[in-house]
Amino acid sequence: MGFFLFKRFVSLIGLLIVLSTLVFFFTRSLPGDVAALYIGGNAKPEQIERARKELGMDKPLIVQYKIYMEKLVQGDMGISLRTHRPVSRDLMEKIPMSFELVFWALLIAVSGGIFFGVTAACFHGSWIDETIKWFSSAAVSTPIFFLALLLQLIFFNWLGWFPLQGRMDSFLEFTNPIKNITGISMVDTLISGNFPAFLNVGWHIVLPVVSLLIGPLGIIARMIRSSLLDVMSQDYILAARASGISEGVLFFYYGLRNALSPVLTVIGLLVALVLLATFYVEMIFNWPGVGYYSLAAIMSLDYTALMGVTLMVGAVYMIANTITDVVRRLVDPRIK
Amino acid sequence: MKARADSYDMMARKVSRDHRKVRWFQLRRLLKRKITFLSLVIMVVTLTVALMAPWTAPFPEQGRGAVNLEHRLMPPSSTYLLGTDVYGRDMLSRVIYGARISVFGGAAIVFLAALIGVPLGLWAGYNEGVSEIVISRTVDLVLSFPAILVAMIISILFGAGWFMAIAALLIGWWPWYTRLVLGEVLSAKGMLYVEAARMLGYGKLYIIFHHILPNIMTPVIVMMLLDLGPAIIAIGLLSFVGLGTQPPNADWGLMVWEGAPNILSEWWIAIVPGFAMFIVVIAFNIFGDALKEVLDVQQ
Amino acid sequence: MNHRFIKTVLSAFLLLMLTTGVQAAEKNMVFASPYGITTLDPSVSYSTEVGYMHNLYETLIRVNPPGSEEPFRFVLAKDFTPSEDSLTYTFTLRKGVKFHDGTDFTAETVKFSIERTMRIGKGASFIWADLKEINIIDDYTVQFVLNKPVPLPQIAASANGSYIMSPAVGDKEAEWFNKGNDAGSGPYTLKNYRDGESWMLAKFNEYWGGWEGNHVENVLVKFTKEPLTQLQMLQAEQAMLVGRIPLDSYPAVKDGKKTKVLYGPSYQNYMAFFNTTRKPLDNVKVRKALAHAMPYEDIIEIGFNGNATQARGPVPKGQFGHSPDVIQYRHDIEKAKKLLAEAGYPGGGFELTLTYAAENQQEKRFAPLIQSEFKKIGVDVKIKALAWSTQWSMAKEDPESAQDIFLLLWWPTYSDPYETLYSLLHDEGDKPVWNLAYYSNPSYDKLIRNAYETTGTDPEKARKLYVQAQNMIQKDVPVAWLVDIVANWPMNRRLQGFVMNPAYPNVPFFYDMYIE
Repeated sequence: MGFFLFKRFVSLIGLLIVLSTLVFFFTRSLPGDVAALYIGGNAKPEQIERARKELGMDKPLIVQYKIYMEKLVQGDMGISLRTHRPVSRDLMEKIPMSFELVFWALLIAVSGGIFFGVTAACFHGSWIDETIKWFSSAAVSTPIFFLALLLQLIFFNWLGWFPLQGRMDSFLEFTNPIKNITGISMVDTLISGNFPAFLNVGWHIVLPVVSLLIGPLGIIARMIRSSLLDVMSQDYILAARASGISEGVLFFYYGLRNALSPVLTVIGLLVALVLLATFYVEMIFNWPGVGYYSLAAIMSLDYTALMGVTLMVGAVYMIANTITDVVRRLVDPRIK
Repeated sequence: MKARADSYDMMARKVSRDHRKVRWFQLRRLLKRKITFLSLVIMVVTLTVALMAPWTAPFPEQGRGAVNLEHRLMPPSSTYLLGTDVYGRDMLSRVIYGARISVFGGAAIVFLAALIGVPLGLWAGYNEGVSEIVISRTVDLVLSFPAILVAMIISILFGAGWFMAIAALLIGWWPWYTRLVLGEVLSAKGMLYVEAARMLGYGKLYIIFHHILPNIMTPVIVMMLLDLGPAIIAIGLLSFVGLGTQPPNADWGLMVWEGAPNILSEWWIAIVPGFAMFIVVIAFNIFGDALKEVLDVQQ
Repeated sequence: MNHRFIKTVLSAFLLLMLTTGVQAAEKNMVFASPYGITTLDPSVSYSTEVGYMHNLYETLIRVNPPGSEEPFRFVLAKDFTPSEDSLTYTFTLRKGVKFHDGTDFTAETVKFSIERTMRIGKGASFIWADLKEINIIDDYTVQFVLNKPVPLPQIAASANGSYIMSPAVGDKEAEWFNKGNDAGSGPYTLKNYRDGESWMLAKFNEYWGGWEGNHVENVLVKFTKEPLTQLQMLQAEQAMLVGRIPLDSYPAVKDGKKTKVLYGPSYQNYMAFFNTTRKPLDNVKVRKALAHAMPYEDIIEIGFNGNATQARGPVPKGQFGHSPDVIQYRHDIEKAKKLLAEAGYPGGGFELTLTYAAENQQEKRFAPLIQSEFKKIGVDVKIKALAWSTQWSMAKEDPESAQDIFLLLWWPTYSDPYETLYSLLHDEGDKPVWNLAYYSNPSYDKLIRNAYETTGTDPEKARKLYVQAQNMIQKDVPVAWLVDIVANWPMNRRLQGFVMNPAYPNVPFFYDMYIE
């Protein structure tokens, strides 16, 4: 196990190096004039020249690469061309905001997915099973941006139950401003006893979280259902049943435990999916998180932020995959 | 000796063919289920309407992007069944022309991905050794990056457009096929008929094309069908942030984007193309699932 | 059930709000702003943060909106007198002005501020290019000495690059400012700075103008990019003032129960550069044909809801140098067809690439109109929406392979036509920056320089020279001048006192505002 972890760790680092190298050379081959972009506005030629020196972009590419990698090792991703602040600081500020969304979305998607998957398998062939099956088909077929807009239209415009966008009503920022402790607004408001703000954030977070969780919920429910049905028809379950173990224990202990393993394999993929979905959800719901930041970086060709974002998403994706692998080995003794 | 070899070969091919025949026979069962049949109808209708767009769209010119400024932002009516957009263009015609770009774009991605991925998988699976290691490492590497993000970056770096979006998405798409085929080939290699053919001295290429390829086509086709929906959505995701199709052409994703600012008043501009996308994708998914179930393909 | 629960929570909330918030709310307001902050360093600032900078910092004088009795409004200066030869300007300064850090405002600070801006040499520092030196006469008198008789008052009143800052800044760098510090003397000081999210322009108690009467005291700026979001915040009274709303929502907001739109003059204009370096646009007749084929009325109607006028040359309406004597091309498809035929392209038959900035709502809206209209004369237009920085970089790289048509939104830095005429069309050789028509005309270059240097001594002659230069351009049509826009601010009906000043585009002077 120790050796396996070490091996995974080394290959993770290797992949991250490949990723950052690719991103570096990709972004440097782009047509835009980075220095001009950094200056912005009605820049004059000599100012652009000066900015080029300041950014170190007058040096040969390979020297720039060396500097970039050295800084990266120290956690310095450079200065964003758009916000003119360190990218790592920007990301550290935005990550908690997105974490809030992703956390709720994944929590509900996984628990709801297991619940619906098990229910469907329990009532295999009945109308409940059919309904859950169609729902999960619909869930994975809905483009995230369409779903988000549809939710806004129905629940804000037509029914008026939830706010259209934002993290909190703006007048609360005068009366009940959020103290920044962890950066996760629901936690901050709760520990500082800021109850009105807590409720307000909770009210605002519903639609974005729902848009994020629908897809993963469908995927998980569907996987649990089919793998549970698969497991329950295996010989060892039959043997166990013959030896008189109760149907409930059989189903929830032996069946579900074994059925979870294939689901674990897609958790990494789901994390990536949700992370990417935050780009759209945060844009549509005006949620000031890392997804919004990433999309803005992409759209404005902010190449330093772009590298930071790619590295971050890549790293999250790879780390999630590694953790999945490790957990699978712990859960499933068949894997060597 | 030659005669015997031929008959072995015949036998081996017959075994694999019978195997396939049984599977395709089950296709008929598929269409007996109402929902699968309905999905098939939706697929066929979409493809036909899209192919015949110049005749099926009520306003082909507007479908292609010509503006119609006198009738801006009209709600659905008898002239404009699904309303009009910000330039007064008939939404129905736009959606029909959009189907061409969305559905055929999705099909192009899936087809090209298979075209690249399958031969590589065959090659790696049959040769083993260095080529297998190189190819499967590459597959692992590519699959460890989030495909849509890569596609976004490539589109923004090399210029947004429909072709670029497809090319960019392909980068993250082909490895899935290589991985699938590689697994299938490795397991097929252990099969009796392949071993028999090899013992009889048939060349690698012959065995690949006559014995292995026909047998792995079914899972590949099922995967292609199941991938169509996600591919259509993927193009839409790029277009929605302005990195895919460029105006005046529009795929459904771009149309939703164009309609988004008007969602609270002229909601149909965004909802109609989004709904079209939803219906078509769900039809492909349901049909693909049913096919997979009937053919009993493990993925 | 769910519904009722939410309603209950909500009404509990509103009750809470009513008891705690309302009293204070009358002096506080929320501004949902699409304008981000690139830098907070007043010497470097040259971008969308200008709207906040003018509330934190002040300049010596300000240009008054067109139609005012006096050309200038005196802010930190009380008066100024030019010398006979217009090469020396003496400013008398206001007494009793304090910076936010408590330092007093004196002649020394003026010299320090402007020299700092020139020394750093970023942003809009180029406006001081013709300044020779600054002399301190006494504590409250300062003298500017020029190399050439350029219009110094306009420069001192520039929208960027002319802020006066506290000498306590010393040798602090942009980094210090960007943490959310300011060193201004303006009515507001920066608080709770959360970049890319929100910040507060809070009342500065010792502001020299005082706080008697009606003034907005605290402005919470919520950085909000999406027009739809701004619209919703405005309608839900979550924001008193917003920057932009979806184009099609203007009619409803204009006559809303709670909302209105304030319109006012602006020096911003939209233009389409023609790539003059290669076929077919190297032919002046083809360019003329395209200038006639531009659907000006549709662009105004669909792209701007009627709130724009067709441009007449590069100098926008209301600015010095604008004149009805400048040639204007009217929308005329038949004439366009005829010109194309004369140029050797009967029925068109060529394709052009048009690029625009994807961030720009208006360009996104009207680019397809141009495409649709050009099709009528047989010219196919390929539209490319690019991130602004990409669009610009690609245009600067190599004219031979660049776009054919480049859409641009332009605004002058200070109220004099020279900057516009020089930047957009003077010969930039093989390193184009703003002359994206890649146009070269030495006699034009000479003419505008001549006009600029005459402005200080003989404005009427300068005006005539500018008109002559513009007509020179209009005969060559390197650029189709599309529209001069009418600036607009959607806001709550109760917000009063907003004065729009075209010399300071996108600047809401909050001190003048109050809530009814």
